[in-house]
Amino acid sequence: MLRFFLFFFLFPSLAFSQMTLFPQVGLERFELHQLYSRPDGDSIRIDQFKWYMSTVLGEIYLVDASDPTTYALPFLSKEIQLGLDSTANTAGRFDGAYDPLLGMYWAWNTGYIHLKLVGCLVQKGRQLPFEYHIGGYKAPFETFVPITIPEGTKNITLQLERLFTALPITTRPNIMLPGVAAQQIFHAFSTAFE
Amino acid sequence: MKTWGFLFVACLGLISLMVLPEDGLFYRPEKWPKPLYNFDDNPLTLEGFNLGRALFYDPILSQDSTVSCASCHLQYTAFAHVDHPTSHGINSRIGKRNAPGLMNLAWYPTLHWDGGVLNLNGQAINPITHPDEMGETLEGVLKKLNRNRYYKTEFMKVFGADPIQTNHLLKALGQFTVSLVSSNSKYDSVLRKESNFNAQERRGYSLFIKHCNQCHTAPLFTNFEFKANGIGPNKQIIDSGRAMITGKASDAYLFRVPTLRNIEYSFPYMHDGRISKLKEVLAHYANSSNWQKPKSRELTQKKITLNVNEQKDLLSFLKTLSDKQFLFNQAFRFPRK
Repeated sequence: MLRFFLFFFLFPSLAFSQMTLFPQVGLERFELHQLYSRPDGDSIRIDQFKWYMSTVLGEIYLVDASDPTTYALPFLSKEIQLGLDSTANTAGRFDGAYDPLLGMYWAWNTGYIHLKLVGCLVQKGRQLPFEYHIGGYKAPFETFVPITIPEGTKNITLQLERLFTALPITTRPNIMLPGVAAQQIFHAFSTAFE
Repeated sequence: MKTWGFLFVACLGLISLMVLPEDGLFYRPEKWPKPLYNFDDNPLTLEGFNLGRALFYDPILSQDSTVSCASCHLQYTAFAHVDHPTSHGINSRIGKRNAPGLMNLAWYPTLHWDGGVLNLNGQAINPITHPDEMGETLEGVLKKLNRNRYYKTEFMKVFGADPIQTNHLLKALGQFTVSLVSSNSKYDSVLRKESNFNAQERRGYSLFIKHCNQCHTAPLFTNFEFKANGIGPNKQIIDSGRAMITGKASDAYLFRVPTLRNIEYSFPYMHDGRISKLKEVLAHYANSSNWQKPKSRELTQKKITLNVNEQKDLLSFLKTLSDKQFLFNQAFRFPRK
């Protein structure tokens, strides 16, 4: 089992990939460190963008925009979830995709960051940095949803505009704890999969 | 036939390794509940235990190689930090909480004074990476360990690990810390009918059952719950305790009920180490009019007045929870490589 996970973690592109993510902003392919304009006239730049996906079989996988090969999902199961369930959060294992080295582990309050989004809002020439560590597996603040994917889908387009617009950067530039605000961002991200 | 005889002797040897606490490896004392630690995920071996011990005593885990786990967790004080109200880290930095004694960790459903950590193996990440403690990164530690010939060899032997990764480091430390079992105090020997309480200890024991056992429940002498014991919030250090983990206002200023095993040696007391002597702790509990808010249910239901003699009786019972075999067990000492 362990080797299985390691295999997926180390060689995602070699695994039995059935589906590939295509993050997009409008018609453009999404890239880190690039400025995208928002409907309100401001621009947004993303410097770190990582999130966990999992399946009902207990497979967990970290997608990291800094390494687009991770967009190929190496899952056996087609029942995909965004985020991690409580079992994965409290598994107490630290290998493969569970390794705290990946920068997604909350050591002092056991659990994983399900979505890490770090960047900058450019507003009238001003730069407003933001940092969102979005997670939570305890009711009522779970950040974990099943993703419905139509039969036969190979390419999953992620429309990120709604997420970028929904970020409360001017009012809450930093969110590092589970709660309502974290859930709202996570929800906005999950709509990208629709 | 010869093979069977050999196997029998080998089995006996293995069993004796498991029963004899002197060798240091984890054992489950008779009549104790089932441990919660996942031994299947991290099967203990003597090599693994010794590797964990070497790491526990090695300042290599800290950013500037000055602080080891043992800096704040000394064996002779039941792996607590003697004389330091709160823990000390690199560059003389001072933490917010008292370094608790380490023992019987296999039975802990959660760790830390606020219960934020759910897994003994994962606990070590906190002191290693906390800026007020070892101030190191996991990347940094692994880099140092992977350059060290002793650790390269030992991790290979124990986990077949090359390179050494996070989970190997945490499992090795876990093998040592989970093995810190204390179950050979006078109290335990009385329970096993190997010795008897004297009259004062016996009086203290009845007082204990009446007033303390509800939270400091035997055999682990804690019920692992989070309580406010009437000492009131610390006025210098802002620390809302359990509420930081749960986000619930009702959990503000609650801290874990600590074990009373080896309590005679694990001073100073309370989550912030604000009380230095055990008899002062007893004086706090002995008079319910001392208790400040917030107070947990167990205290609001109660009115206690214990006179000086009763406090002495209680103290003499508490001293029967000291386990010299544990405090002086050679297997837990600083290793000579």
